[in-house]
Amino acid sequence: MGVNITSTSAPTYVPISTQTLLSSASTINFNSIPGTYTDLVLVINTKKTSGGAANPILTFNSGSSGSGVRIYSYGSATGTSIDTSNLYVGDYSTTFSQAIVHIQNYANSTTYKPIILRGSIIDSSVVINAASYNSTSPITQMSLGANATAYDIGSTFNLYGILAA
Amino acid sequence: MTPINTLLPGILDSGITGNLLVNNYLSITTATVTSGGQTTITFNSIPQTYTNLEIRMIGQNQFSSGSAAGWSSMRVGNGSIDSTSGHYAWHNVYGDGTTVGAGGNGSDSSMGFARFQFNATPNSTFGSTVMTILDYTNTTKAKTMKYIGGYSAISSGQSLSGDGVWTQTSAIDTITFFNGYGFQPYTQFALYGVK
Repeated sequence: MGVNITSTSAPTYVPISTQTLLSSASTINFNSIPGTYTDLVLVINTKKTSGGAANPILTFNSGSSGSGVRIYSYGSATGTSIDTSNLYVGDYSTTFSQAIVHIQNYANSTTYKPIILRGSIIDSSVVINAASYNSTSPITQMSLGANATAYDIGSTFNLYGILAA
Repeated sequence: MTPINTLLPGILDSGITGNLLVNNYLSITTATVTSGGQTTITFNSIPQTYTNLEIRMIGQNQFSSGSAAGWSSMRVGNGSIDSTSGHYAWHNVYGDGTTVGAGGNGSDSSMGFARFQFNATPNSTFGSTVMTILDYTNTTKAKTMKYIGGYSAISSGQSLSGDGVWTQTSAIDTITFFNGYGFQPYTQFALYGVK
């Protein structure tokens, strides 16, 4: 297949939702996600209210999560793991931690939805997770659970839509 | 100090809304596979009006007995695709749930960049790769590419991060991606320009 390029599309990478916590919350919801983009990008900058490192869990359509294969480093150690029923979004701690989640072809009704993300706690860990929402249903809703604690004040959650030509 | 609005959206800095809102991230074209077995996807006549390119890919390979996933590669060029031995180098780190490993080649005729899942029917697991090609119009330095990618087939899969270099100083105006097993329908490579 060869593609000769003659023109480009209208601007894309559009903010869909931005949330900044004014009080702590255990779950962040993105409801009624428009199906008009090709990919979604979720950018989070969070910290938790207490305790050690934990892994937020992303779920879809008010139901199940996904699967994933992670590669990570904590300090000087490296590791890898398979998660068959939970899609873990990086790590977070009581210091601000970041993750960028690419959710691709999310609105189609034929294939599973591939997801790739990179997350980090700045001073202690980095993780890459190749994941999948294993359903052919379009994604119209997402929830990001804090997993055993709560997101602290000031945490931000930004969702963008990318439209391919 | 680098002004914050000059940082790169996408893999490196998707969180900068101010940069994105002024329309600095544009879709150039998209190639979608419609019949199985297609072994190459090529972008020609890439505009020279951006600073960086981003390619967002989802892929699936045609089933091959005895293999879990296929390794895909790419070449670039100016006017024509460069397949010269020694003009590429690449490296990656990966994890498959059991082993953390690394791969690469310091002198190659192409650059490996992605593992996509094999499947007999194109309706389930797809792999994903998001790649940035930096300073692709520059004519004084070699061209570097970086990516994250992989696939999850529930009880198996692989995640990886890597980079590569095309050692030539010519601007890039053509890119080809190839896989000997062939891509399944719904495989999609979307090309974006970042100003």
